[in-house]
Amino acid sequence: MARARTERMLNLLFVLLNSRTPLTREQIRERVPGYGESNEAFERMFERDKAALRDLAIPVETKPVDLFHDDVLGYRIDRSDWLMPEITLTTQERAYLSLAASAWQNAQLSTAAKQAVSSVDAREQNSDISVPVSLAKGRRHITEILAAIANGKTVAFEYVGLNQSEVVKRTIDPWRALLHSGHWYLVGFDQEKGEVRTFRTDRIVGDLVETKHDILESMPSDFDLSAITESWEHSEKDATIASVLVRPGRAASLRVLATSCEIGDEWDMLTIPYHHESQLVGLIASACDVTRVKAPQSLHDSVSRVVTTTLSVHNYGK
Amino acid sequence: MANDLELLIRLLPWLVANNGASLSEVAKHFEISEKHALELIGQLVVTGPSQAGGGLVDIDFEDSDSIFVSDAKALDRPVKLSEFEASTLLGGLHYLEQFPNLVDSEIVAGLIRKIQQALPNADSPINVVAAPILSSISQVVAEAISSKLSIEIKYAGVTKDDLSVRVIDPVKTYSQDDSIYLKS
Repeated sequence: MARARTERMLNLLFVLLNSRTPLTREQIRERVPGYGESNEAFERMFERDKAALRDLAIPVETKPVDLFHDDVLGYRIDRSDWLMPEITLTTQERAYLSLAASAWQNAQLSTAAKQAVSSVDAREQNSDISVPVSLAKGRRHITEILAAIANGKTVAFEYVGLNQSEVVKRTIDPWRALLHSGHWYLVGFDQEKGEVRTFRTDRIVGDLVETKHDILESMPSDFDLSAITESWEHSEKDATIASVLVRPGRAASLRVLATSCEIGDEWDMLTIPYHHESQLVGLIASACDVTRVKAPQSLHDSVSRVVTTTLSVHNYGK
Repeated sequence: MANDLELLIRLLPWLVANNGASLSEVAKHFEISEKHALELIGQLVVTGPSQAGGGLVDIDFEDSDSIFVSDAKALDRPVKLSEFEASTLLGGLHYLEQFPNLVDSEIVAGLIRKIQQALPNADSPINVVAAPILSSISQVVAEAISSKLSIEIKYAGVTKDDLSVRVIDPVKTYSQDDSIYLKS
């Protein structure tokens, strides 16, 4: 943008911002230098300037100039619509604000958050609290999810569910991003299924794309995410419980899945909830030299089958 | 320049909030050259709601070590946060709130309230369910850190298939996503 145009737009901005009542085009033309001699030139430039201000998300109001002349339109910018209200912060609060912004380990989110901090309190901060925190490091899709939620737009993506081997296209009204048990989830309204669903972000295949469409189903104001997370924990109670003996100090990959562990001399006993054998069979079989499945029998048999098949394939005998 | 108008809109409120800042501080904050910063300030002082006397933005920048705004002509507050910006900030704060071991959760909660009062439509787009830590463990760790004691821990490595007993000198705890880690 040429310097002259920048100057004219700044002047226009100040004129609109400092007027208590809406100003007509003629009034604006009088007050803002550089709108040219001819009416045509003015109309053209003014329309472009207004559009440019709106592109910068500056809320230019168009209103009737007064109650008696509602056919005469005027323009102004309401300061409280456009600018931040005053927020008074203590030093501690200011430090936590910076900390919250620097927690994001994702460039776009961190930049947006730091910009937000500067808008809440532009005073330069000298000392920061050095609490090492880290959010969303190396995670895909979080920026797109947060942007779509903020913009109120439907998203589309391809997804592989837990028990599926194929990729399915989903169209979701995004409501929340959930961080639970080390995984990030998109929680939203599945337009096809007509209900709330959760999607683990590391099972999203390819890009998560914000569509042009506004979301159809908004998150209810009383939406309670804990109902979902609690049902996950309850579904653990509905799960099958495996009792697996493991040699002391071995099979860490099984230990992290266990909800309890009884330490013994020769064997430790792990209690592991599961829904599908496929979650455990592979892990137990690959540690078969240090594990024994005590219960349930079906799991024991499945593991035996896998081990026997593997051994015979590799010709190691019985 | 295409982005100069945006820069100018950010610059004036920043100068107001940091009244008395030096030209080099301006340049540093906005990641521009001092020359560019000077040009921008020069542009501001020839604009305003009226070209008549006293109708222009008033900035005293004769002394480049100390720039004073005496009249910002109503552009004296930063622009309102966009929904996206607000959500990243509130998300970060909500995350901090889940770790009372690391921050004062009450202050953070109060801070979230203050921001939401000023921006009623803003909300955190993330929910964090922090990984549960047995309170007996976090207590021992906290005491060890404050008393600079060594502690013996049984640790299950996920990548190495072993359960090891180690004696460590815990230095501090930090969080990554929903878990808290111990550095020693």
